[in-house]
Amino acid sequence: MPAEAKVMTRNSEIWRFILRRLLGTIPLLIGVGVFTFVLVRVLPGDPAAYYATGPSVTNEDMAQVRTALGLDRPVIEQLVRYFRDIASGDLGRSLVTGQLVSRDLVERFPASFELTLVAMILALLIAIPLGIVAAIRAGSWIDHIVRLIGTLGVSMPAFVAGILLIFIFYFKLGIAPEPIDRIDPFMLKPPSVTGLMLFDSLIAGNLAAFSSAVGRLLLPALTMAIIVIAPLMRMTRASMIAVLGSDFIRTARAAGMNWWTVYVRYGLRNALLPVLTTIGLVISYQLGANVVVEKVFAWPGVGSYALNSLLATDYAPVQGYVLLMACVYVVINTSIDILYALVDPRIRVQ
Amino acid sequence: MIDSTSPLLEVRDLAVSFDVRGGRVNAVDGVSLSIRPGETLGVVGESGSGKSVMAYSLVGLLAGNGRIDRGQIRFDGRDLRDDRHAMARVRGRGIAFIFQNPRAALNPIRSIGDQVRDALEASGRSSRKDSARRALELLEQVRIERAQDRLRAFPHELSGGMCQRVLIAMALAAEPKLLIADEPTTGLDVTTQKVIMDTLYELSASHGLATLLITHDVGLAARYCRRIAVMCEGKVVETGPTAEVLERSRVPYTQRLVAATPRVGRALIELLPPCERGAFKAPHGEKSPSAPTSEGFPLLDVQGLSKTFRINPSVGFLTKGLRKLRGTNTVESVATTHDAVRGVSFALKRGSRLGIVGESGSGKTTLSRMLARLLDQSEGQIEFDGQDIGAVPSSVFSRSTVRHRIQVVFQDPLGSLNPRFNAYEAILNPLRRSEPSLSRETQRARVVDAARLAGLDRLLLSRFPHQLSGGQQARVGIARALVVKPDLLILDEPTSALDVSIQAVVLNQLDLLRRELGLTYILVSHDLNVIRLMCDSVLVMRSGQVIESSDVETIFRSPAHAYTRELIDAVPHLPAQVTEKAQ
Amino acid sequence: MAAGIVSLSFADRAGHAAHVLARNPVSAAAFLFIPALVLLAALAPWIVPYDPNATDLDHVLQGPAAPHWFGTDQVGRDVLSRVLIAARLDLAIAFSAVILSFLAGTFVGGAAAFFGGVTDRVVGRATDVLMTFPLFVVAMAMVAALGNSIQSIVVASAVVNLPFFVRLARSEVSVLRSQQFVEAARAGGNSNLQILFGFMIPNALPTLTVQVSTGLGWAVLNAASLSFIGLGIRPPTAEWGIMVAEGAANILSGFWWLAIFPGAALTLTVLCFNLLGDGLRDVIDVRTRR
Repeated sequence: MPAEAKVMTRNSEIWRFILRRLLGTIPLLIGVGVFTFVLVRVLPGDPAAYYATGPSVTNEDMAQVRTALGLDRPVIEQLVRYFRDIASGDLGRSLVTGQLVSRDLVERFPASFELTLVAMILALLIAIPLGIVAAIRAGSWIDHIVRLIGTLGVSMPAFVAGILLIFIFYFKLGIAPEPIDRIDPFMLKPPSVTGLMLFDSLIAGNLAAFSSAVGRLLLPALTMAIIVIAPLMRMTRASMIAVLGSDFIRTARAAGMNWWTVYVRYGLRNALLPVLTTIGLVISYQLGANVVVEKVFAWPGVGSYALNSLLATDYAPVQGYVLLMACVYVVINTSIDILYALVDPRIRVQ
Repeated sequence: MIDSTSPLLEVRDLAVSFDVRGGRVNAVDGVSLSIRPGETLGVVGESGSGKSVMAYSLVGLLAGNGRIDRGQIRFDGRDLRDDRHAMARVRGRGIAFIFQNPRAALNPIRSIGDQVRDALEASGRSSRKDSARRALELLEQVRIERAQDRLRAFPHELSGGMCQRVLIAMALAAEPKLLIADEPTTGLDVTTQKVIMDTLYELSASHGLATLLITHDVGLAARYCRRIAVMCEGKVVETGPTAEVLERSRVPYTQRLVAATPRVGRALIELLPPCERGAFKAPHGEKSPSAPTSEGFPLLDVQGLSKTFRINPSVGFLTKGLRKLRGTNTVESVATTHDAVRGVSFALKRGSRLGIVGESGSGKTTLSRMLARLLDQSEGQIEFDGQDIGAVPSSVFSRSTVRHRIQVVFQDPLGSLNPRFNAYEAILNPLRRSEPSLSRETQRARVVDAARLAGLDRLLLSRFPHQLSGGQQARVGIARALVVKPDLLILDEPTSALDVSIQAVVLNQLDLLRRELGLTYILVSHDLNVIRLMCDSVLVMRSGQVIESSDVETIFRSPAHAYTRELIDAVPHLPAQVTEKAQ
Repeated sequence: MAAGIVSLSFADRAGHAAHVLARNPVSAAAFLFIPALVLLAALAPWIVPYDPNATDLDHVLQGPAAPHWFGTDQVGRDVLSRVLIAARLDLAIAFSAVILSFLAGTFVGGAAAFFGGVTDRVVGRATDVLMTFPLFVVAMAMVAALGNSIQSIVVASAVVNLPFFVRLARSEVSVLRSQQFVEAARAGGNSNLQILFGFMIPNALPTLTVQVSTGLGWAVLNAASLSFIGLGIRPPTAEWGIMVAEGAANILSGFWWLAIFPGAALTLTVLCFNLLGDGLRDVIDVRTRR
C-alpha cells in the first residue's frame, strides 16, 4: 500500500521525467552506433571494399584505403574514431552521387519525412474512427468486417499494395497522376522553405503546385498507411473496449455526467494512450516499408537513395541511412514517451 | 406530496438476467425492498447472491448484456422504468453511488479536484467558476487533510481510504437523497474501514441521506444498519430490523450465515450449523493434545529477522543530482530502500498455533515468505528443528531435505494453482519432488489420502482449477501442502477470498487436520476474528515490527499497545448475545 | 477413477475448437486454408501442369484462360505453375526462419526474465537497440552482406523476427514469475529449471503460439519484399516477390496477371497466417477460462 506521497508540483515532475528520458536515450544511441559499426566490420567482406569499390581497384589502392580508414588499428580505436566521425557529421562519400553522404541525406530527407508524416496522419484518420466503431459495436458483423479489412491491409506487402493502387487508380481509372516524383516534372517547383512540398507550395501561394503535389503524394502515402492501419485500429478497439468497461467510467455515469464528458473526456482520452504507444511501434515498420514504397513510386527520398546505393555496392550511404533511421526512430519514440507522460501522470513516477 | 413515512425507494418483484454464452442467467429473481428517507438498509449476502447486480439495475448501470426482465422501481414518487431517461436523470442527482476498489473507480489521468468538479457540474448545482470552491468544501467535509493541496493530486498518489473519501465527496456533490454503497470497504484495512464507515454514517445523518449498504460482512451491516435484507441466489430471503434478523431469524439461510460469522465468544465448531458438525470431531483420534507440548527445543526459532528491499536505485541517484543542481529542496526524496521487516524474533513450540496479524504494509506477508524460505532474509537466523535453515539460500532450498517439512497454503485459491495442472497433478507435484522414487500406486494412494484429509471429493481430482469453486480450489491447495507430510504449515490468509459459510467449513477442516496430524501452524491474517478462533498466541505487526506478542486471550481482553487496541476496536463485532439465540 | 486422473482428452479439446470455429467462419477458413496450402506447396513439383522454368516464346503474355489458368509471362512461362512452386520456396523459408527465431527467442527471453538481474537488463537493452532499426533495413543489410542466397534470407528473416519472440517471452515469464502458483511450485520443492519448463513455458505457450503464426506471415512478407527489391533470391527462380517485380514492369501495359496472381497469393497466405493467429488465441485462451 503506497504511503501518501507528498503532492509534487506537476511541473517539476514533468521536467524530471523528461530529463530522465533524455538521459536514457544516450545508452541507446551508443548501442545503435556500436551495432552499426559491428554490422559493417564484422560481417564477411572487406570493409575497405565499402569505401573503395570501383571498376579498377588495385591492391595498393586497397592498402592505402585501409590505412586511411585506420583499419589496421585496434578495434577500440576504430570505434572511437567512428563515433568521432559521426559526431562531426562525416558519414563518408557516396560513390554513385560523388557527394558527401550527409549532404545527400539532408537533401533527400524532407521527401521521405513528408511522405511518412502524411502516411501516418492518414492511417490515424482511418484507423481511430474505425476502431471506435468496432469497439462500440463489438461482436457485431460490422466489427468483424472492419477487423478483416484491417487484417487484409496488414497482410498485403507494401509493394503489392502500391502496385495495386497504381494499377487501379492510374492505369484503369486514370484518376491518379503518373507515379514518378513528388510533383509534375514539367511544373515549376516552389522555392524550398521547409523541404515539405505541401507546405512550400502553400507558403508560395502556388495552388497548382499544391494540388499536383497532393495528387502525387496520395497514392504512396495511402500505400504506407494501409499496411499499418490494422495494428492501430486493433489497439484503439481493444483499448476502447477496456475503457468502456472500466470502473471509472461507471463512476462517471453514476455521477450523472453527460455523454460528452463520459465518453470523450473520460473515455476517449484514456483509450487513446495505448494507441500512442502503438504509433511508436508501428513507425518502425513504416520506416522499413518506406524503402520499398519509394522504389515502387520512384519517390526521391532517403529510402530509394539507400536502396540504389546498396544495389550498386556503394555502402557508405547505406551505413549513413541506417544511422539516420535509427536516430529518427529514437527521436520519435522519445517524443511519444514524453507526450504520454504529459497526459498520464502515473508514468512520471516510474 | 411525499410524507416522511412513505418509502423513498420502493422495489417490487425486480428480476434481472444476463445474456451469456449458452443462454440467460437469472442474477436477480423477484426482489422486493423499500427504504424510507434517512434510513440505512443493509443488503447482506455471499458472492453470487445478486446484491450488486440489483443495485446497479436501479440506476441503469448494468453491463451491456444485462436486462431488467420485470419489476417496479419507484424513487421519490417517480417510476424509474417509465421511460428510458428516467434512470439517467436520477443518477448522480437523486441517487448517488460509491463502489468497491476506490482507486480503480477514479479516472487515473485526471486530478481528483477536477473529478469532483465534474461531478458537481454534472448535477447542475454548480457553475464552472463556482465548482472549484465547492469542490474544496466537499473534500473538507469528507475529512481529507490539506484539501487545498490535494485538489491537484492524482488517484495513484492517494491511499485507498483517501480515494474512497473522494468518491464519497463526488457522491455528495449532488446532494442526493439516497446513497448506494456497494462493498465500500472491501480491500481496505480494518482501521481505514472503520474511519470510512464512520464518516459515511455521520454524513448521512447530517445530510439526511438514506443509505443502501451492500456488503458480505454481516458484522459491518450489524453495526451500521438499522434494517437488513438477506439475499441468497437472487432472492431476498428475509428483511427486518437488524437485531431481529440476526438474533431471532427463523430462516435457515440467515441462521447459517449468522452462525458462520466469527465473533467474540464463539468456538470454531459453532461456526457450523449443528447438523454439519459431526464430520469435524476427529474420527481417527487426536494425535497431539490441543495445548502445546514442551519438547525441549522449539520447532521454529527466529532471531532478529529483517528484510530490506532496494527500490529504484537509479531514480534515487538522478533525483539527488537534480536537487543539487537546482539547489532547492521542494520535493521529498524518493526512498531508495524499504524496511519491510525489522528485527522479528519469536519461538514456536511443536503443536502450537501462532497467528501473525497486521494491516497491509505491516510486513506479515514478507515475514511468512521468509519463514517458508521463499525469500532470503537480509539479516537474522531461522532455526527449524535445530537446523539452521536461514543459512540456506532460497534459490537452493527446494533441494533441501527440509523443504517438505515446511509447507504453505497461499492466499489466492485460484492463482496459487497452475492453470495447466488438474487437481491430481497439482497435489502430486510436491510429492514427486520430495519422494521421487515412489511407485505409481503409492503416489496415487498418497494423493487420494491428502485429498480426503483436505475434504476434497475424489471425483474432483480430474478437474482443472477454473472448473472448481473457490472452496474446492482452497482445498486443493491444502491437500497439496499436506501430501508431503509437513511438520509446519504456514497459512497465508487462507480464507480471505472465500465466502463466510465456506470459510467456516475450511477453518474447521484445518483445525481437524491439526489435531489429527499433529501439525504446527502459523496463520497470517488481517482478520482478527479468524486469528482469535484458530490461534493460541499472536504477533501483532506494524511497519515491519512486532509491536505486541502474547497469547490470544490477553491480546483480545487486555491489549497492551494502543495500536492493538485500535485494531480490535475497528473490527465490527456482532453483539455477544447473538451467540445462543441465533440457533 | 483411473480414467478420471488424466488431462482433458483430445476429443474434448477438438470439440471445443470446433465450437469456436463454427462461430467464427473466417478463422475456420484460415484453419483450413493453411494446411491446404502447405500440402499444395509440398506436392508442387508433382502437380504443376507445366515446368515452371520452361519458356515458350510462342505463347508469350497470354491472358488467363485455359490451359494457362493464370496466364503466361513475358517469356511464355506458365504463371500458375510458377506461383505453386514459389509457394514451396516461400513457405520453406518462412517456416525455417520462424522455427529458428522461436527457439532462440523464447529461450533467451524466458531465461533472461526468469533469472532476472544483469542478464535481463542486457537482453532487454540489446533487444531495444535492435528494434531501433527498421527491421526490414536490417534484413536488407544482412542479405547484402551475407550474399544472395536462400540461407541468407532465412537468417535475415530469423533475425528480424527474433526481437518479437524475445520481448514476448520476457514479458510472459516476468508476469508469470509473480504469480502465486509459481511461488507454490517453489514451496513444493521444484528447482528453477523445473519451474521454468514445467510451470512457466507451458503457460506462456498460447501467446507464443499466436506469435509464431503471425511471425510466419511476417517472414513470408519479408522474404518476398527482399526479393522484390533485388536482394537474396534472384531470377529466374520462381518466388512470389520476384514475380511481382517482373510483373510490375508489365502491369502498366495492361498485362496485369503477371503481378496480381503472385501478389494475391502472397496476400492470401499472410492473411491466413494472421487470421490463424487470432483463431488460435480464441481456441486456447477461452479453453482455460471456460
